[in-house]
Amino acid sequence: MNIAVEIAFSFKQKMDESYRNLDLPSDATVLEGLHLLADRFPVFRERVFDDTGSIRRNINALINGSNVQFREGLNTVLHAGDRLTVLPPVGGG
Amino acid sequence: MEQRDRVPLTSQERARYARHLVLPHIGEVGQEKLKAARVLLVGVGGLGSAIALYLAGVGVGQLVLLDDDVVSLSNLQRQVLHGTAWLGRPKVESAKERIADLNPDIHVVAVNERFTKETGMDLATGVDLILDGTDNFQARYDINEVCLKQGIPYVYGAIFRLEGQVSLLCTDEGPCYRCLFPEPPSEPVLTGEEAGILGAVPGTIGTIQATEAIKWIVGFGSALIGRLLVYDGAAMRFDTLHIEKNPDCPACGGSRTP
Repeated sequence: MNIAVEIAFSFKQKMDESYRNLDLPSDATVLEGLHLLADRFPVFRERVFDDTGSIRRNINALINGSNVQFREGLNTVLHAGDRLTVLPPVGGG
Repeated sequence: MEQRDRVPLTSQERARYARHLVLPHIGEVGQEKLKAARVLLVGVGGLGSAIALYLAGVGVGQLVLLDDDVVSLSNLQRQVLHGTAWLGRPKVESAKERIADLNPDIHVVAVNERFTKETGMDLATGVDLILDGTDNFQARYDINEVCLKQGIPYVYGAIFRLEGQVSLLCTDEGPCYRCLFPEPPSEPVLTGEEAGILGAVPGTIGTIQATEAIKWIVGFGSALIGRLLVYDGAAMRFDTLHIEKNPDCPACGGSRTP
């Protein structure tokens, strides 16, 4: 199934545009989607995953504009046509 | 804002706002709405400098400014509201003096305090909008809570290095801050002091916040509701991300007034 991906980090400039469309098996989770991005793009792994291979806790994932923390978190199942957004918290002013 | 929320212009104000009066989006009615408006700006640092200068310049009638910091030399690379002569003095007093020079026709309330939910609830009474010029996450959750309790839209803005985010939150139609970021970061996030910030970035984001505030007060255009504008100054790109109100949000529960 095809998933649209949006990344709100400037490091995406180091990734080619193919990140925008992710082909995943049916019933893949958000975590599996993020792992596939990390496999393809080392900079994504470096910035989104920590040294132990876990997702950094400050990373926010949204499905169709809604934060996955309100669902099953990173275990939330994706569906064909979903839009997965990876968003950092930004605190300065 | 409704038609009763207008204050007639003086002849001097007609001259001052001449470029607005001929602008189809604003005109005389829109300018009268700006004159009748009261907004709360939390923080007069980087974002707050741009917000305060433009909202004062365009004639927002009442500006309530809140900040407990003093002007330091390292601020002036980006906090263009202040000046070298004001080093060591409260930022809200510096802001008030600069605004009085820019536009003596508006009323400024300067509050030299840190934003808390308690002070926010008092200061937000009767305001049309709250604008975010803060530099920390806790203040943003507190602004969000005050906005939801009082039914006031929240003009969110935040910056990091060469990046920024802007949205209009806490409206009837769109998400609140907690819909977007349910919990404060559980790992340390670099501050501006640690990470650095390009001087012009808060100007870019703060000016967009001011534009959204003007549009909301006058009532034209397409508000940044349900959309998060993400700016990357290095790539010079803006992306617009779709964001939604969450029915399970503990703050708004999918509605503006819980």
